[in-house]
Amino acid sequence: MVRNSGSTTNPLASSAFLILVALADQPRYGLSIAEEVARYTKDRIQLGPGTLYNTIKKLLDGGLVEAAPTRDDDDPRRRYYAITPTGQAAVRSEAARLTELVDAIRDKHLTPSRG
Amino acid sequence: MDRPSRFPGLVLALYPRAFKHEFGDQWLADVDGRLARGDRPVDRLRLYWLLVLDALRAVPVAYATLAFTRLRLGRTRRRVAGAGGDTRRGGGRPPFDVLRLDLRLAVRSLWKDRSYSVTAIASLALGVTAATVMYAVVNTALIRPLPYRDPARLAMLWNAFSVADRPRLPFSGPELMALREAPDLFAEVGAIWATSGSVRGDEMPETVSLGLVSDNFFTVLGVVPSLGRIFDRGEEGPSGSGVVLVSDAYWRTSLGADPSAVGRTIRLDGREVVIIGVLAPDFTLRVPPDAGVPARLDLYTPFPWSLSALAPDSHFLRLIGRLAPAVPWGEAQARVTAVANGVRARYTELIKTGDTFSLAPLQGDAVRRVRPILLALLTGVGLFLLLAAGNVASLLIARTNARRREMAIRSCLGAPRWRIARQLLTESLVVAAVAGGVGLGLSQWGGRALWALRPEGLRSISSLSLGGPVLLFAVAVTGLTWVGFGLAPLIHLSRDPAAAILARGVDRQRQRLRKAVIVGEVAIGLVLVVGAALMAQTLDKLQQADLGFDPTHVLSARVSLPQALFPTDADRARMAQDIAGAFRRLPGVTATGAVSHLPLATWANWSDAAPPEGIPEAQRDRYHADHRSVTPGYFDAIAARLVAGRQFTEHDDGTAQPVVIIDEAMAQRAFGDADPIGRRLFPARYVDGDFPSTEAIVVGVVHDIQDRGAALSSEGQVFWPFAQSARWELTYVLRGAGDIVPLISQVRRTVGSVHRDLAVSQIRPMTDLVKANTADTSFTTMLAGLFALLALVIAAVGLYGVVTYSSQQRLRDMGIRVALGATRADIFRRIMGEGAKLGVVGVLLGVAGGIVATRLMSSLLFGVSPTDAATFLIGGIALLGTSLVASLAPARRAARVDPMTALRLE
Repeated sequence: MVRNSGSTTNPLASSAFLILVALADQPRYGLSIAEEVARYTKDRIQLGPGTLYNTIKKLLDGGLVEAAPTRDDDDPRRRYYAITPTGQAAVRSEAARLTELVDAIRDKHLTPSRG
Repeated sequence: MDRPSRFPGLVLALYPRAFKHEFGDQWLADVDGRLARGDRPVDRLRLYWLLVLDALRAVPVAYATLAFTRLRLGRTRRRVAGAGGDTRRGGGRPPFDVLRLDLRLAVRSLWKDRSYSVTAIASLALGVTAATVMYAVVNTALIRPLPYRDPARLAMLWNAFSVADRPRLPFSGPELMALREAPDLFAEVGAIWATSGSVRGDEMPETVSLGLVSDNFFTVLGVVPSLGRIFDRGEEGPSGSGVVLVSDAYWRTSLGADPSAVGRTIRLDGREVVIIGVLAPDFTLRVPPDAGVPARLDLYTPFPWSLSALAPDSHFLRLIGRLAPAVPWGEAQARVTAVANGVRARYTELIKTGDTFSLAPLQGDAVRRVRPILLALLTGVGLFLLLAAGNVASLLIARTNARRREMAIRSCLGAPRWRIARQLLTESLVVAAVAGGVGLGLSQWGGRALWALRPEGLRSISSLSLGGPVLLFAVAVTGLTWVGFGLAPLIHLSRDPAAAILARGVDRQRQRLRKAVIVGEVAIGLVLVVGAALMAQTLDKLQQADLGFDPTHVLSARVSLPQALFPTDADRARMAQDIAGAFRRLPGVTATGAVSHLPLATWANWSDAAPPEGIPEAQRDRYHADHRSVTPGYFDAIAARLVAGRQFTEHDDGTAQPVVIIDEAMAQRAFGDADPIGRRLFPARYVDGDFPSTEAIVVGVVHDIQDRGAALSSEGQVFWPFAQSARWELTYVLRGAGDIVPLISQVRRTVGSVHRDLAVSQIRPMTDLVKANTADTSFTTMLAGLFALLALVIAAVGLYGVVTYSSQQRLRDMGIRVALGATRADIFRRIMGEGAKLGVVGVLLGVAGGIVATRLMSSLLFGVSPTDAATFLIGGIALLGTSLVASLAPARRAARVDPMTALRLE
């Protein structure tokens, strides 16, 4: 059975990858992560709060994200999360893997035709 | 509590504590954030849907994560402690890891074989649900103690007139006194009589149900009111102070839940009474239905008469006693018999040898009639659970068989036999646990649904208890079934694993075991189907039975004629006639009349001795009969059949010769085969507030009116003209030419136009009463039918699986036969024959089992014998048909097989 949370060489579980991508540009809190994921997947993926925090827990345990300072002007219950260097490395390695995959798909002329 | 935030809170509660601790606030903040984005109901619904879907996925993950973390921590700790010695078990893994491995393997292999898992879990979950729900009902009704103080010492008392074959009659005042005076027998004896009264409010008078009680009645039960106090000693009798206790429901609906209502004065039947307390919301009277005391009454007031001064043969008091501490139940019956003997000695002219008192623990007596129903259903559920477990066992055997190669390989690779056995047990444990969990969940919901439909005998219990013992029961049942079906595949787990790959012997043995299970399933299925069919026939017979009247197109409405408004008998008689006249003029009414006590009403009527002339005093009670007063036209209105003599007319009034009409049961008892018309009887009647025995001439005989439902025959009835026995309760019956619903609105208006202070209540079609009377049977039939249907489905699934499997095993065999010239029809017949054989053996077994089992339910049946041949025949055909239908698909598949393909297999 593949266990993926700690290592950067294994493929990332999809929700973990989605969250890391959402955190790539700035620290975010829970709902904002979910909304960012929804935004860049064009509403195809709605992360429910349970799935979200389960995954954040794994990412925290694996050292891929860390707690970031909270802001004073918000709901005091919110916690912010930021991506760590390990997390960035994980995203990059996953992105490389996906790029290779997409290249392979392109070579085989399987990309969706547009228009 | 804020309503909107409740649902998310409920969802969050599903998560493990560690999750809530770490993320609970953020989780809630997110939900609030989402609500802030859009708060229309549709947004909210969408959000809740998302939360549910999310929880379905995330909750198990959260628990698994937690378990992993704990395991890892534990392992690290062990390693740090240097206790690495545990290398013997599970190939050097610590035991928890082995368990985890087993569990993971189990879940993975179950996931791979989803059709098996779903079938197994679904059938087992159904079984567990049904068993748990039924147990919850039995626990609530039969096991959980009554909600009174020290309920095990409470006794229901009955006056047994064994000569008249009426063992459950109420008591008279002097009899109550005798029971109270018996030294060291009862700590207290309380009495109640249910009737109705009229409360004069600000506008319309209101009819209320009224409990007349002895002043110690609530003390006997140990009831604590939610407001005010209960009655004090000395508040009963003519000199009583006029006090009343109100029910919580009455306090809420009619007194506006006003705490200051205690101390207020209301007019009850023209008398000023002070409200002294409000009973607790969950207070109900848990007395047997045949005591004629409804579970919920609006008001309670102490008897306004002196009980000891009442006539010794006027029996209407329902007694509940609290046994004195030193009296064991075993002795109590002998002691009350002694009291009965004493009373008999004192009133020799009234009470005869053979008549006695009896007592029974209140709890058991209160559910006396539903007990056999519940026990029969519990048995049915047990059989159904057995069937479900059998089905899972059969599936599991098939699965183990299909996996024998996998097992053998693992065994050859060095897995010890117990390890493989443990793996199989773990798999079945997972199935059992999931099914148990689902069953538990469903039973919470199903229990409530079922409780809403509970039979009349359980109406006095307000809520179903689904807590502690029921949960424990569900867990125990699940565990037991696990042991049952989980062990089955182990029986033939090969002793020599390598041989298992080659040998077919084990295979055949297992298939034989599986067939035995299926035969058992068909047998159980037949028992359940026959049970359900017997109940259905009972229901049909009850509904078709001749009640002695025709309830269709008849509307009934109850009117009280309170003493305060109509002090004299003549006043009441005139008013009864005026209302009847007004009803008769309503368009669409073809006949109308009134009776003091409607047949099938759950209200307590009174009965009394009505001996013919020349009967010695000592034998009077042999002629006990129900007393009813009717107006002219009543028998026509309910379409009762006059078999001899004449009906009452307007001329049978208070000044005329007293006359009565009796029913056939009474005529037979009093006069045998002789013509009763013109003979004399001495029944009691109600005149001037008293109940004197009066000589009356029998002028008519009606066909028996089954006032207690078709299942119980009439105990004898005497009808007086209302004008000669003017009771103050009347229920009018209006027969309509067609639809009676439009009449409902006119009834109240019509009565109001005759007398504006008269209250009308219980306006309902008479068919409702008939329906309520057969409600117990409908309930039992519905449940029995449900079990039978599910049993058929489960048996069919089991048969289908076995026949499919065995036909696949023999494909090669079939191929050879076809190659040698067998036709497809031959093959088809062969496979069908196999299903039929299992079906026939199962049916034969089922008939044998059914003959024993249905005898247990004979007390629930009416008009059909528990061993009714036609029912067994139809049940047998149904099960045989199911077997054939279940074999049809595999047989067709086998017949269609290409011989070459079949030969090439293996």
